Amino acid sequence: MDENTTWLPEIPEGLEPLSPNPGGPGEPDDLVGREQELARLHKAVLAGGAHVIGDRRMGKTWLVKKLQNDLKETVTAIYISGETSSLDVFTDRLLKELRGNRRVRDGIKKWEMEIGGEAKLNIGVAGLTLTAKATKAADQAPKQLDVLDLLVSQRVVLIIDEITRLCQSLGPDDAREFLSGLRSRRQSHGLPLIISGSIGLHHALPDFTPVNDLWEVKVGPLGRDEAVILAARLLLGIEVEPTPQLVADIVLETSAIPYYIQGVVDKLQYRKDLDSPTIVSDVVTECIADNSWDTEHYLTRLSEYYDPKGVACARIVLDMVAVSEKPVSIDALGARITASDPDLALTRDELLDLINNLEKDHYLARVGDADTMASPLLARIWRFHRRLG
Amino acid sequence: MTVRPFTPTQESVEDLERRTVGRDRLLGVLSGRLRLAATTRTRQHTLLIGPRGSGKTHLLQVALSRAQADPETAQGLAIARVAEDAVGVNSYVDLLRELARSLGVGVDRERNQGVLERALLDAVGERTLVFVIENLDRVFRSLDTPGQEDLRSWVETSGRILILATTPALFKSLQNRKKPWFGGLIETPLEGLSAEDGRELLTRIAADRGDQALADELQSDRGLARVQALSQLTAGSPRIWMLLSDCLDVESLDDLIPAVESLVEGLSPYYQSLLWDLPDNHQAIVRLLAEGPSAALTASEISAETGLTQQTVSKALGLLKENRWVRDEKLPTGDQRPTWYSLREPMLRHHFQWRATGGESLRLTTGLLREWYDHTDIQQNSDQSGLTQLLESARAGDQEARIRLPAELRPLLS
Repeated sequence: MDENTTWLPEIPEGLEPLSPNPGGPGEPDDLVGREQELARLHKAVLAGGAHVIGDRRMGKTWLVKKLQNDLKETVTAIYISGETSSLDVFTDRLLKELRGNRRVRDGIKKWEMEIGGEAKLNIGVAGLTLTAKATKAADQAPKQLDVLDLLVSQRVVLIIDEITRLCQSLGPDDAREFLSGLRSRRQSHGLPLIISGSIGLHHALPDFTPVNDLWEVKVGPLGRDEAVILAARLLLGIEVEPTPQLVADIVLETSAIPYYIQGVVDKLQYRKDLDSPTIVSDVVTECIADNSWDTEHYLTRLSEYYDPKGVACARIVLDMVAVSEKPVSIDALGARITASDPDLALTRDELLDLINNLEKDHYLARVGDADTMASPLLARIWRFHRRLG
Repeated sequence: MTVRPFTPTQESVEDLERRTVGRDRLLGVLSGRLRLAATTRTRQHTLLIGPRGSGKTHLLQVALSRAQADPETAQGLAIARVAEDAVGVNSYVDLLRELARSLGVGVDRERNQGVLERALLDAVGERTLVFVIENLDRVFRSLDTPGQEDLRSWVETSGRILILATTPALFKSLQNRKKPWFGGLIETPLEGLSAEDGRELLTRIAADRGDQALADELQSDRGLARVQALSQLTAGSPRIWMLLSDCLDVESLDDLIPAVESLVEGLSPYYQSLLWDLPDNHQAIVRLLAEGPSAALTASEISAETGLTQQTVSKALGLLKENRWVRDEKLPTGDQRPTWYSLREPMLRHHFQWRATGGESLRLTTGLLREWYDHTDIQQNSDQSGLTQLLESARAGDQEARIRLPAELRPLLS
């Protein structure tokens, strides 16, 4: 018998209720689980920084905001989202955050008083600089303040969320230069950088050299014990008793992905059929069928990320992996592609590139030398939309 | 006491509180979210989803007033509001200016995004800014993706903003993972009021007006039977229930038909203004669905009757469905190819029929419902519309007749 069909978790006593919040950030201390990821992030800060990777709505922002909160005790961290309509909006927002940080604000104020002008933040080859036209200095040529030096001197950790969007705004060349500037500064002076993004950075940054020293921190499904706690606390938050069976159903049906756990529990509070033994499965099926989680995007985004041949090969690979009960070897995947259409046959290097990219785009997860879908839920979603039974 | 079903913002909160029925759970949820926003860094951005007249504005007013009445919550929040009928919000900067105006922050002719954002945050000190935005679908359409991105990144970066919004239906900017607000708002559905809720609402309004006889009658078994019949026509809309309250006394509650005729008259200006905003071909389809040979039609039938191409009809039906004018339905078993479309609001169909042919259909429908809930035998009525024949076929198990039957008469099949 499948281990999952008999699994019933023990629900710890004395859990605090938590109100479902599928989309927004919560109180940093309310972050459930993620202890390993957080511990790795703390170590990474000491080593230069981290690249937080995970699909959209996996909880990356909550995690890095928790880090920001934790760092208050020792150093200080500035958080900024790169998902703006233009670079000007981003720099304007970042300058505001810099001015809002006590340690950095004083440095900027002092410099502005010395030169008698109001600063504008620039982003580019030199990293981050403030420029202003001097009015007090004898030489009234534009003056520059190296913001990165200021951040180093004040022991500030910079957290840039949605880094891929920022890189897209900058363009590949400027993005590489900007991130290279940050890298050289962290190697020479130790300016830690945390970057995070849902869209694979490889889509905006062809050369990873500027960030390949950052520790990778993957944010995927929760550990099963963590997911149990989250589901149970959320059920308490909607005043439903967290029975072992209900909690087990939620954890298994959502593959322990926090966004879906939150989403399912949020929907349960409006259901009148809570006694139904299939309630959780019904909610998940409805959400997939009516596309309220936009799960169709797993199919449609392939054509945005890959060329037509890549899309065709990716579909064959995912069709095979989604119905397999065991991880599928790369040789088996290559053979299936060739068997499906000899014109699509890939060299081993091409096949490895394809599989690596599917892993980076959160479709596949590597298990030894083979691959499975990134989660059982994703396998179910793929089978549903591809009508694979 | 004056009831204002179209402008709850013009009513006193006490009146709204007194007329709040069937929303205890939802109000509890909203109060909890506002309290958390006031006292922690949790931001449960909320989108209330409900069709026209479902009581979104009413609910917001009550939730915000309860938040103001709770000292701890009130102390931690600053509420800025974009009115339901706000005009001229065409960009992110316009939105910021509107929010600043609502808070009484002087921004003169300032149009610099960063300056406006700072002015808003500076004005509220350490409090959490609650942006109450009605008709978010319209506002997001004006903002377009760049404006939505800037709003999202500001909300994320500052961590000091809670969005509390309403929309008549879900819209694409929230349903697409590539869009900045995908999954960023908790979708919170507003269900229609049940017959029991409707009865409670009518009773409270009657008591407030001093019509105790009507209030008592509503609480009787006969009152319940009449309200159950009416609830099929209101389709749960609190707005229609409130309009109905103006049309009722003890006699008309018993007879029902005069009350429902007054209701359809009262709804006319409202439906006319909504219909005028529709493109011509959408109007033609809505009219056909109201006046056509049955309450539900397929796209091919609509195309044949209106002279519009199949493609135009399909596209228009998609949009009408998205905007909750129509619903679609397939046979429960058997051939799954045809899809039937019908108007969501029974009273909209009766509005057309009333104007076109008088109230025969409305009287017949109301009479059938009255008799059904009274548990009396249904009388043979004069029926030029073929309604009773359709009802008989549906009762005999004809699945297509069931779909073509007006939705308000489906209880008669049980």
